Amino acid sequence: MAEHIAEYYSGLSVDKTLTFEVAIVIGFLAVLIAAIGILFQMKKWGYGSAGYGKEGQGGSIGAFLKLFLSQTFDKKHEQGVLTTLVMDILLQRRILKRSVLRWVMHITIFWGWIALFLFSMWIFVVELLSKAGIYHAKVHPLVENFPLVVTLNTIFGYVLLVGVLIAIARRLFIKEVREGTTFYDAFLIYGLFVIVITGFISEGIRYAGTVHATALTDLWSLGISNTASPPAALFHVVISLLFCIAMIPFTKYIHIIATPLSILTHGGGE
Amino acid sequence: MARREPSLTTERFTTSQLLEIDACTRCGECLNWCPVLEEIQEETFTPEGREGMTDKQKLDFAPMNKLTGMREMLNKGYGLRAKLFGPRQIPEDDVLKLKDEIYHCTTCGICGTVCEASINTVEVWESFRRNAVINKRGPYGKQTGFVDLLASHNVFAADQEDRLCWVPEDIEIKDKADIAYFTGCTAAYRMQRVGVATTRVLQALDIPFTMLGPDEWCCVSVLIRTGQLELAEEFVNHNIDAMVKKGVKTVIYACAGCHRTSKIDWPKFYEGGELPFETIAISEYMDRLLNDGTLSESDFDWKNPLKKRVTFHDSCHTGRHCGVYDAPRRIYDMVPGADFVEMERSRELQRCCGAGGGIKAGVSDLALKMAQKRVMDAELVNADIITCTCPFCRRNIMDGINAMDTKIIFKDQQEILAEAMGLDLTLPDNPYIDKQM
Repeated sequence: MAEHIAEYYSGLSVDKTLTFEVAIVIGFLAVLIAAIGILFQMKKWGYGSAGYGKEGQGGSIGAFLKLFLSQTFDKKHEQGVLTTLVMDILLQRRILKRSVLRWVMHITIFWGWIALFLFSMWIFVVELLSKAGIYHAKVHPLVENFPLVVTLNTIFGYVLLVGVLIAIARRLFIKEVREGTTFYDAFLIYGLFVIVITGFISEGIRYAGTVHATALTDLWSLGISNTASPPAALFHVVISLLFCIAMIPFTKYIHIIATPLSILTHGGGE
Repeated sequence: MARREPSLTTERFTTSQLLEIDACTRCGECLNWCPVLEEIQEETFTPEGREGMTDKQKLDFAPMNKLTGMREMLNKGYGLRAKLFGPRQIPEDDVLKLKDEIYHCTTCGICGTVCEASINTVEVWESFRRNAVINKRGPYGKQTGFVDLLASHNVFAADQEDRLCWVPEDIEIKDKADIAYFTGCTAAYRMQRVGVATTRVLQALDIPFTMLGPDEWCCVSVLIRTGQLELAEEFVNHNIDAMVKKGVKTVIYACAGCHRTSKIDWPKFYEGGELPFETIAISEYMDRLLNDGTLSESDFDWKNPLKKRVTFHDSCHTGRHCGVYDAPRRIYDMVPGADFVEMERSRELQRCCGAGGGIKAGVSDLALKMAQKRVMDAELVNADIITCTCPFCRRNIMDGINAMDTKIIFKDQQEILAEAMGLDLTLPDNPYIDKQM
């Protein structure tokens, strides 16, 4: 059997397997579930009133969006929307002001998550193009043609891992944080941990026994043969889609939408 | 069969607040600062019916867990599952438990100040409280008496005609003026020395001012903080109309609670929206006059150097709620002989004295413990005097001082100014002399 690595980008596309098709179906389902959930969240927010003492808006998504935009671009805010976006959302200075440790934890998870999400989308598109016969490389298309993506993907994987490990350590070793931890908190952080670990393992398995293997990827492969690459990659992709996409509106992941929106409506600031 | 109603409705919550409830990241920063949680964790205070709480149960009083409680209850009423199968009912005891936790809060706002998600927690608590009152779950304890007391238009059920009984005869109150001094119920009936000092200082600085007298009704802070809004619109509009009739352009306050309520809450109830005058703390007003050259420091005509170590307690309402920090400090800096020192926690991270949010009336033993904690802060910097710009903080901190073995005394900012300027603070004989605090 040929090395799987020569025939796919994401680790899913292998001849005579259904893994890629399965991932596509689950991917669309995940996006659909997330979209429906977010709409219901917006509907819930739309039950509130437009202002103090006013009547509720009956769960109108349109009313919520209209109000959000008007509050975000309210001229009474002391700083512009762009400043809020950069300083308070992308750089998260409010967290930095309170705790350097928590800022390092959150900023690494935040940027690690975003970068891996974007790189995954990129690889997915390349793979789709390859499937459609529009784009193809003869050897290892990802390594040969997108070395920067591979390198950055690995770097941001470790960035995310650092943040997740800090988060877990906080919840295990700081008494107040530990006592205050609920399933709502644990689901997010341990879910992320499983995703990032399975990501490294599936990558390690993909390179196992190939010319692209390194000591580090061999370590992550846990000694599993390269032939197990498709199911390993599928497992990682499926749980990523379910944890990181589909569950967004129903778990603590909702904060990745609600918190930036809340900061924007208040005009940010320290 | 009729569809069930959610156990906790969204009534009185704004769209922004419902979003904010989901925005809480449960980072736990509020746990480090909440003064009520601190007392509960240190077991200096135990909420009624919660004896023997575990450390985990004590965290139910943490701001983030109050938000979590609201989120879970609202999701059971308005989430996807509720839409498909109807709202899940929550045992009434659970809702009442959350209600009690949210009423154990001085609405000091420090949780919002340190919040990573920029949540305006005070407004969320107050909306929940209003929702609780509408659904006959609130308010808490003796707070139920506020509405009856205000039938007299002040919180002490005193005769409204006596509103100016404390004003010395030689103080000139203009019939109409650009400036109005809004006294507030506490200074008018229980802390008249603050009122006398304020009017004396204004007159000494040649600042003409008017007052509403019997037409000055309660600012309704106590109602708004506890969710009892039935009278709010009437009172607010009455006060605003009375100010307009006197041609007032600027209302000044020596009471942080009245100031906050006028500045932030009155516009919500005023039929015309934006107030037809500005509302500022008296220290801000003096600071402005000093900056624009209307006043100079020599106008204060100091006669008695203070010769005391003074520390300033930023009231939550003037500080975190209205953002006034520098102006009161500038006033203290002018006082000759005042050795001004900051407490470790000051300005936006100040520790609440425990009086606000209906706690003084509703959970008085908690208010007392918090006041003592603040006095201890002042002791740590070896202050002789702890000072503030709020008669209600004054009342609670003085209760704290009286319950402790300490030499610290309390003086309002206006008292310090008046004494240093050698002004007479003798109270005229009036029916409330024996009730002064």
